[in-house]
Amino acid sequence: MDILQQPDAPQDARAAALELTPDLVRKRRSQLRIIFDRFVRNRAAVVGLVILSSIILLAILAPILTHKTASFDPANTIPDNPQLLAPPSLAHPFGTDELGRDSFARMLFGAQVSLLVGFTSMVFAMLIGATLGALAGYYGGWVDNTLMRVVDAMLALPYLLLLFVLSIVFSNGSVGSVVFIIAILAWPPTARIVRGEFLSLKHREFLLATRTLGAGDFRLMLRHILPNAAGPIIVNATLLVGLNIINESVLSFFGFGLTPPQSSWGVLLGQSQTFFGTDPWMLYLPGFAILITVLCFNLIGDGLRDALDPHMTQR
Amino acid sequence: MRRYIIRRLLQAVLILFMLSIGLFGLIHAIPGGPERVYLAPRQTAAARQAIIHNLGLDQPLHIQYIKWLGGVLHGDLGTSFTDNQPVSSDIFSRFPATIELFLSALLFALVISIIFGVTAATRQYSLTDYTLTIISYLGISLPVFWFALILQQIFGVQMRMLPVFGQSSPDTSGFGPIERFEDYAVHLILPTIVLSILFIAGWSRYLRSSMLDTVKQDYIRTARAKGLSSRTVFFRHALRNALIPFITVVAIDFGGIASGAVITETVFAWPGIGYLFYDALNDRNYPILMAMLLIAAAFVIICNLIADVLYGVVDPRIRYS
Amino acid sequence: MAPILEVKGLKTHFRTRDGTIKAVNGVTFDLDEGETVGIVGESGSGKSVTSLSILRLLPTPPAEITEGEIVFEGEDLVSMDERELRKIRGGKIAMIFQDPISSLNPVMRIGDQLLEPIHLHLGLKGDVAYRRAIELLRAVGIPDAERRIRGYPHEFSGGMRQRVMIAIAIAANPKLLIADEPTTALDVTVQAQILELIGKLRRDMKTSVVLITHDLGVVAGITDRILVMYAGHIAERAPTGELFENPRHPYTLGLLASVPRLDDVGVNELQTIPGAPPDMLNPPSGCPFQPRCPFVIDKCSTYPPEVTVGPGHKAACWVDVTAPSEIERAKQRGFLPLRPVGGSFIGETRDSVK
Repeated sequence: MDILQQPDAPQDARAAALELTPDLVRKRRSQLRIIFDRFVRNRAAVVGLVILSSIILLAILAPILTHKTASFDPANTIPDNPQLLAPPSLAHPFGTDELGRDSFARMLFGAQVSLLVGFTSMVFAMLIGATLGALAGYYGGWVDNTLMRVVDAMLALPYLLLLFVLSIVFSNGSVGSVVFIIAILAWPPTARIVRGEFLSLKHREFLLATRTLGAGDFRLMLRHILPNAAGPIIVNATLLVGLNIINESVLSFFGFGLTPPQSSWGVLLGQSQTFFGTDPWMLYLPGFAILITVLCFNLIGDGLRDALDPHMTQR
Repeated sequence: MRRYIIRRLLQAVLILFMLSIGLFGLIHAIPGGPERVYLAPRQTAAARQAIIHNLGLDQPLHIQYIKWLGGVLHGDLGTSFTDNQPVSSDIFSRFPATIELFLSALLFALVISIIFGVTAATRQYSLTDYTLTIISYLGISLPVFWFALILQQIFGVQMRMLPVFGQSSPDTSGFGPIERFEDYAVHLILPTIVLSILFIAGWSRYLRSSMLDTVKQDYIRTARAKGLSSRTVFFRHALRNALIPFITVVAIDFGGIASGAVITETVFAWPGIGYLFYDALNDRNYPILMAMLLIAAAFVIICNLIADVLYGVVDPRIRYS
Repeated sequence: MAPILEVKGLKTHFRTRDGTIKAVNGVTFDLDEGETVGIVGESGSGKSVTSLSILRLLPTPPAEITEGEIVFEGEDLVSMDERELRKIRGGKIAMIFQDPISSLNPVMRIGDQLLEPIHLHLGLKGDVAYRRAIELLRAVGIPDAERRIRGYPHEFSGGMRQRVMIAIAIAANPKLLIADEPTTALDVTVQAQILELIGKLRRDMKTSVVLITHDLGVVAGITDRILVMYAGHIAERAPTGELFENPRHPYTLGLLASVPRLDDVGVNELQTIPGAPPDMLNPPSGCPFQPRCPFVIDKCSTYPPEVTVGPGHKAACWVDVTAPSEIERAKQRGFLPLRPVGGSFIGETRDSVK
């Protein structure tokens, strides 16, 4: 029976490998629709998305929301007649810190930095991971062997130890250096996913057909394999942002990451130690912000995993 | 089986060797080397050179590495920059405290996650199940060091119930054996909780889904068709099968405990190797850092191997060759 | 003889997110002591759900017995509480399942799995129980039982595992044995051996048997009566020989035409029933077979009552499928009547020889 159908097969494969036909576009769009429907049905993920969107919005609007309490960047501007360590009030919803700066403003500006570090380091980790994973999976042989041994070696080290060592080597306390450190630690899982996807898809017939049509290797990888690996990559990326936010806070708290007067949630936690006994709100709030934000990323990530994985049974 | 383990150990040695080269280069690339830490302010360039020379840091890097490797092969991990003691004795003197904490956290995490996992699985979609799900999500999302600080704040500063620093009270000379044990025990409580929180969150989730997969299996129906009580079906037939993948996950996760240990021991001033690592980072104490990173990596690899071997022990279907 | 099992108006429904599946929708039958009844149907016909309902082994939710009684030795199993039910499960009623590979616990020794019902229902302990277990393994034809009792399931072949399953089932001398597709997962040669074993045990132990299968060839040899199920209903019931010689339901006709017969080479073309089994979420109203039925008439939009068409023979159909006029009408819709052939069905000969 297989033999009877053979003559048709290459034709199908060629059609699939050629440019997206309107039909394929429609199919893909309806697939997105199904994924979206499945995601929306997951209440926890939707709640996570709503809360996260509000947090991001607050962070973006930080200068506008806080302009009344001080000049343009109240996070780092010490007011003229400071109220030191004031309790929460109408003027200062989260109170003030040891220099009289508005804690709410510092939290919002901290959110900007924490989220920025989380997202950008995720993007870099994805780029590194996807590139290396694609190279390893596509070329195989010694390229694959070398890269995978590097991954093995990196995964053999407890995450945080390597993070600390890298940070005393490379960090100069700037946002860029912290992003770099977190990103070069976070790529191996992505590389593994992409490599695995490449290995499993490499020999599928539609790719062979494309190759006979003369598509270059690079084009082949980008256009035809990466979209197939999109599901696990997206899930991984979402969860990674949360993880990166925690890593930034760990680094900054232990003095290996960002330093004051920069404001991130991790920096704020580091500063709160001095007022451990007297002003516990300075400890509670930034940590709580991290917890909620990371929780949102985890909920969304799991929601996406369920929505994107057709083999998942319904919950 | 024996051949399998030997082969894996040889692979481990290879990985450790590669790691040692990479880490050696990395650590010696740390800007503002150790001499800056030991240099009193305003000392001369000559004094600085002398320190660098004494530490052997003026030699080419590959010579330093070969010297270091030669020492390691003879069981000499080098000499600590800070106290001039052999690195091995520095680390070994800190070992008992860390092992005490590890075992305590492992035991606590296992007990709690098995209780949580089994409870959630037996009461799927109940209020208890949802509560445990929320708890584990919170646990996974928690910045562990912050959790430690919160516990210190609540139980130490506000309620004054539990000690928040160290392994024992500063002065235990007047204590009898029971009081001394109690003193150790209360000091252990908060660090244990902090170190195990991530494990509990992950493992209880894993065991829950593993149990739910298992109870769907045909042999569970067979067991019920025999007339066994649901308790027996659950504990004799389902739990045993669910624990097989669980045990390997536990072993693999436990390999990475060093990450949590550095945080926990530093925040609680626990005199173990995690705290030593933190100090070594700040002091740029290269020999200690090298030794500790490789020990940590070896621990990860060994835990992975244990995971594989355990899998073969608990699952009669697996035979390694 | 008094029936040992009476199933009366059984309805087992599954509540799913997409709607209710009426897997068993009003099934009535009984079983005499020592009798063997076959339940035949396609997958999804409700035959397995019926058998699992008897021991109440279906997970609730989603499954639920919404109506009906299952009377075993005068007691209703449907209203029985879990504790009493446990005494019956594996004791007076035992089950054999389809897939012997997944039905045995992979991490427990065969002996331990076999000892469970011996401890539980016979109250035997220690050496006595162990000797009984070895005896059972021998009885089901496992060679070298003293050694194999310490083995794990993965060390046994499929047929041997099914023998172990049977040993577990008969451990407490059950009055009723329910075998749910016991041979489906096995090689053809092994199938015959397992059927033979079930037949032998049935005679030796005077056990009543409910044999569930999709394969008419399997039931032919060892059953006294056959129930044909379709979409949660019993379409036809008859003594085994009568069903093969004088089928009265269009679905049974289709089933028979799709069974290969050794003696039928060249006489009849092997046929398949056109169409697909009904979507159990939205079954057709009235007779569920009507979309696939060549004999369909207007009346089929209401479910037909069971009509007695011979001694012990009933069919739930409005049409008399033996009437020449009806056959002519059906032929025009592609119906190919079976031509009579000599001899009998596969399997039937084997038992009658003995």
